[in-house]
Amino acid sequence: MQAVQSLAGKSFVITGAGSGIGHAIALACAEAGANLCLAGRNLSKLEDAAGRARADGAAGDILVAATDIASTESVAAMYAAALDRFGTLDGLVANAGVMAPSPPVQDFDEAAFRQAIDVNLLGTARTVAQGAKILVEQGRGGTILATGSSLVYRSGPFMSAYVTSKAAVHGFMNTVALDLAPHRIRVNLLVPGTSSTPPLQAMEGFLERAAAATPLGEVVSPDELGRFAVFLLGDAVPHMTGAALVVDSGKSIAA
Amino acid sequence: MSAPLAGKVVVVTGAESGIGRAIATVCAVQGARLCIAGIDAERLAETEALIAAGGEAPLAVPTDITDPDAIDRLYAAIDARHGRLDGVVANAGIILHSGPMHETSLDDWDRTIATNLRGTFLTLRAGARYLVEQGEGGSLLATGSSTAVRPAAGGAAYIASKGAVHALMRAVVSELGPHGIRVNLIVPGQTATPPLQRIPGFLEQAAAKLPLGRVAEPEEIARLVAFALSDAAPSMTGALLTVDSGRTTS
Repeated sequence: MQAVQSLAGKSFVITGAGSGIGHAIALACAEAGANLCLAGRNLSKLEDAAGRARADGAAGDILVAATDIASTESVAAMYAAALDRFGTLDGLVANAGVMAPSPPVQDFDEAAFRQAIDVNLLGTARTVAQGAKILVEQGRGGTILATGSSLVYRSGPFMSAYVTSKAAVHGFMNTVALDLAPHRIRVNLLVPGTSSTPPLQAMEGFLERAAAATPLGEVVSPDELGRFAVFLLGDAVPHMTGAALVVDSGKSIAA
Repeated sequence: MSAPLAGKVVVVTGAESGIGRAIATVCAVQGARLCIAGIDAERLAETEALIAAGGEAPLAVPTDITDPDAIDRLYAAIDARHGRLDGVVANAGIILHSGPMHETSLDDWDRTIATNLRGTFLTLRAGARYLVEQGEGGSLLATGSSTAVRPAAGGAAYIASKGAVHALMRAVVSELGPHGIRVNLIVPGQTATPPLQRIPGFLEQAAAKLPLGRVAEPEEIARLVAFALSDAAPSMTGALLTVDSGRTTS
């Protein structure tokens, strides 16, 4: 057991909580006792995640909210549901995103590129902006995490839309950290490397090859990102803000 | 509350004060079996007493990290006491001169590089040798500085030495990864440590320039170190663990 940090009594919104890294963050936060609003597009996956958290003995209140972060109104409804249930908010994890390969750039697919920007960049910005407004108005600080990508530091081919959108998320979060510092709201970025999530598990041999290309020889497990998120959402390190926390088996540093 | 570091043998250099003392005491509280090293035997004994008051007495080894024989004796003492090693926190470092480079004496330069770079190298080299030989992975940490990422005016020798520590840590990530040894860097900004607290007004002025408006506390850096030493994030290597109140972002 690694849950040295308790989030009991705190309330968080987590987007993209139905699968992959967001799912792992949700379960880790639930285990740490937080009240959670689990958001994502697929309601049945969210209900599964909430059911799993409760079955694991979550002490906090777990709410689900079907949400499309590409819609300002949908994000607003998500926060309204969370506030209606919990009364206050302590922070958020803007994790939702889409990952799809891009064609080689000479075959640029403008519609697909726009979609990556609209979901990954604008979706994260909407989520952070609306959450920040609540935290600023509450006036008692808070903590914001978003999920970036280590591909921003060390890219690969045929990922132009995804990597561009995530690079923009990195820049956005750096700037937002400064906007929100006077309000004692901490803003940090989780930067995962290749992680064993369902879409990548479905690609035969992909994770094995990715693991072999890292110094540690293993891909990242969503569970460890969940534990890290719990650590960052708690009060353990109150002066960490503007940090990019890389968990990538050493990939972005290796030659 | 569980003990994330239960049974882990961890060595911390520069444990006689400031961030090193906080790291040692927090790791001890979280279950680690500590070996504390420091050049100042008297203050190291204070850290030893602090930890012993709360639980298992640490192994305290007064050590000049610039002396390879002293480093050998440090690890020999750990081996004799515990017969294993799980983590190394190469934290010891000095700031001798905070003026501009053109006023820095060669002696200050040499002593700064000797402690901050040579000493960190010797500490990590011996630790890595032990961990590779042991064959069970492990965790290496060193204390860098936010000034190595975003320099301030003054203290060029210190900043250069810490910049070299950053590069050293990056250089060994790929070497030690195949052995399951994780290598991460602590990057503190201005922190409320005794040498800075002694300079009248320094921390207040530093805080006013930081986005969060406050300097960091050694204990929060220690909690982050304890997290990095634990098994919580086994894929984290080559990371910069920055706790600087937003300094390097602004």
